[in-house]
Amino acid sequence: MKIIASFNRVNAVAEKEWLQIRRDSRSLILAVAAPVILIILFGYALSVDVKHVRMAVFDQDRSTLSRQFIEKFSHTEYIDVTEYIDDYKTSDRLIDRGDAAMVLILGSGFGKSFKSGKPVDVQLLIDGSDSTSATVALGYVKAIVSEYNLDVKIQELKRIGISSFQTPVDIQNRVWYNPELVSKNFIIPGLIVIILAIISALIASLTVSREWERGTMETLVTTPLRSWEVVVGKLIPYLFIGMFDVVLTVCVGYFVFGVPLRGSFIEFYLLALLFLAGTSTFGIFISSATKVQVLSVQVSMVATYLPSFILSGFIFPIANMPVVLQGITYIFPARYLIIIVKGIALKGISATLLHTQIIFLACFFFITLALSIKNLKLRLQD
Amino acid sequence: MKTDKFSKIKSMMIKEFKQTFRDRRMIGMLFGAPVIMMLIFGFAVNTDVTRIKIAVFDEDMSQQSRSFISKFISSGYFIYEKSVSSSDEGTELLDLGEIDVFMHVQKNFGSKVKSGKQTQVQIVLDGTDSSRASVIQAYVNQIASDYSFSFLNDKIKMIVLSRGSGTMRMKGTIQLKERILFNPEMISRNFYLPSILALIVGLITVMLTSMSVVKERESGTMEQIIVSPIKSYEFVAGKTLPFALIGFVDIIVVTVIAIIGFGVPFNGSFTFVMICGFFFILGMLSVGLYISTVSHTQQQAMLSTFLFFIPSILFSGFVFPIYAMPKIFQIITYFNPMRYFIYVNRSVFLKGTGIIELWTNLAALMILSSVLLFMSMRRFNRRFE
Repeated sequence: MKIIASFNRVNAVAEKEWLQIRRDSRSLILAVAAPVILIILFGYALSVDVKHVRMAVFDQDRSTLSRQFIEKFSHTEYIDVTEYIDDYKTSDRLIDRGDAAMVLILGSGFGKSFKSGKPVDVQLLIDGSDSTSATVALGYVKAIVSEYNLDVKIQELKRIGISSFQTPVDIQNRVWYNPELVSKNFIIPGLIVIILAIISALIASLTVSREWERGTMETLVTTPLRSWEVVVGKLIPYLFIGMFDVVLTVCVGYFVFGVPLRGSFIEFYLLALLFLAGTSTFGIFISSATKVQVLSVQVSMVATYLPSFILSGFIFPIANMPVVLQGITYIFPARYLIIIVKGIALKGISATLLHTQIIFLACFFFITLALSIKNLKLRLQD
Repeated sequence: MKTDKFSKIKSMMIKEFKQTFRDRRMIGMLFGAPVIMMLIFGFAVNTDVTRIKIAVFDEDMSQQSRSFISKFISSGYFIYEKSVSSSDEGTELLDLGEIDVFMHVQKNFGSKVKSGKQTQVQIVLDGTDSSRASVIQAYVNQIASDYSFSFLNDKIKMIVLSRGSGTMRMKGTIQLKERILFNPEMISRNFYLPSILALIVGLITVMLTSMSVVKERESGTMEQIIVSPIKSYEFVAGKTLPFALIGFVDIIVVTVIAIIGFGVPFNGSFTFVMICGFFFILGMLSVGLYISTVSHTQQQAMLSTFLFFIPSILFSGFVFPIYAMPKIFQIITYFNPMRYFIYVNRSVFLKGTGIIELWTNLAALMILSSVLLFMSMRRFNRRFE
């Protein structure tokens, strides 16, 4: 009897909350449409593929050999030789203004010393301010140079009459899970996680502080509701919205962008639900702790948006962080869902391999639930 | 008359300051949040590809295979995680995400290399993080071709020596001398931290402005203001100036932390950053004001702020380079104030460039913020009356 009564009360709170969300149609549209719009927009626009790096060439030698060498750079989609320049001043200007990311400088003795068997220095100026792109671009240049050197050696062997000799090591690169190294395949799953984390926590984060600010908390206090019934009742409608968002965003990722989904959707769905339960409860917890809407927003922003963007391993690898910070990342649920979504969507592994993540997500949910129930005191303020 | 106007703005400002700082926790959020964000960013934001974890299945176990593998470890990029005894074991480690690369050296590696034949070495990479994977791929190829090169070079020398010296002339090799400018150690933190400035300042100013105007409306005090003799621009000036001041303080706080706390080089002029910061803040306040005119509740204001903010961060070149976007989106980024302020900060911090190189960015910020101010004032006026 008691259970049924309490179930009814939870139901009533959920219904009231649902009505409140539904009547604020703009918030509802934002909560449902925003994730989809964001995914489409970003999925289309964002990538971290380093291609068409702009390179200027300062060829002081102007010999056949130097031109041959430079030619090697123009046959790749990774590097665009944009300009031939005549002095160091121009090279400084191009790099300062960001008009070129690299300048290749061949000294005047290039051809001569190359023929005479001396080592030839070729200078490469790189704008290192964007270190990620610079690393990749430097890799391209190095690869072209060593390929050139290897070719020269092979030709030399042929000249001295040994044509049977081949390059000793042939690297067979196989890239798994994402063979074409398309950055969208990891950006979109990551974006889904982040958008879910933010939207769920943010929407839920206002729910209790709004009651305090509008004075409706007094009404709640006078009802026979218990704290946990309020929390659970408030949680349910937000969970529904979140679940709907999951389906929408995954569909967009799969059908619009062709991100592979190699594992089981059901498994992912259930785990995403666990994740959303955690983040929404966290929003409610913030809300009941701060009691002021502006502050709730600020806190939930600092506590969900930034960590899920920065500390989840989405863009910035966790292994690169100092140990203390690595420890902190364990608190944020986005970290686990990122691993889960990468595992299920790209690697196609089953949930049994992901048990650590599942345990942590469940812990997060129960701890925040306990905290928010404890924090929500149905008592009037003094 | 003039003093009168100013006193109205002043009393508006005082009211706003009082209201903002009445909640002690708000102070913490306003100045504590930037510091925390800076600390987290400073330590966490690092995309340097180092400590690549590799597992090796060395079927050959010859002197050659060992020396080949040791080239990887001595390069400093790779960490020898494990030696495995089957391909399956290696791929399972890859599945679990415990390694980045799995290398399989086949049985006859040593004998083939010695006899001048080509041998294959299989590399399996985890491609889920494509940018990390492509750097790793470049490292692997680099090390392998260096190995091949020095092997061939030794062979040629031996042959030439055995035939007697001076019989032929050899060609030289090209040595790449790279000079990395502005960020010689290629530390990604130096690239990201100056842009956080724009992020933090923008977020705080937009959020505060939009919410505080809406709050006025939500709690009904807006009506009192409308019936008071205050004019709309006086209201706006008084309302936003405190937040502009907070924004400036945050610029200083964040810059100091970046320079002192994280050793980010600062080569340019701080005045120039502040000038650009002024127009950036002006633009952000206008956006906040605009949002306040389209929102009825604080919740809506907050959601709209987010709807504005997430795209403006992602289309600013902060993490996702602008050059990698489709052309249409590259054009869209020209309308994003964040883009310019981030670019200015990076250039001033790292390159030490100033108004001569960056005047186009300053001009764009000025134009954008005046347009934004004009638009939001017009909308606001309509609602104010």
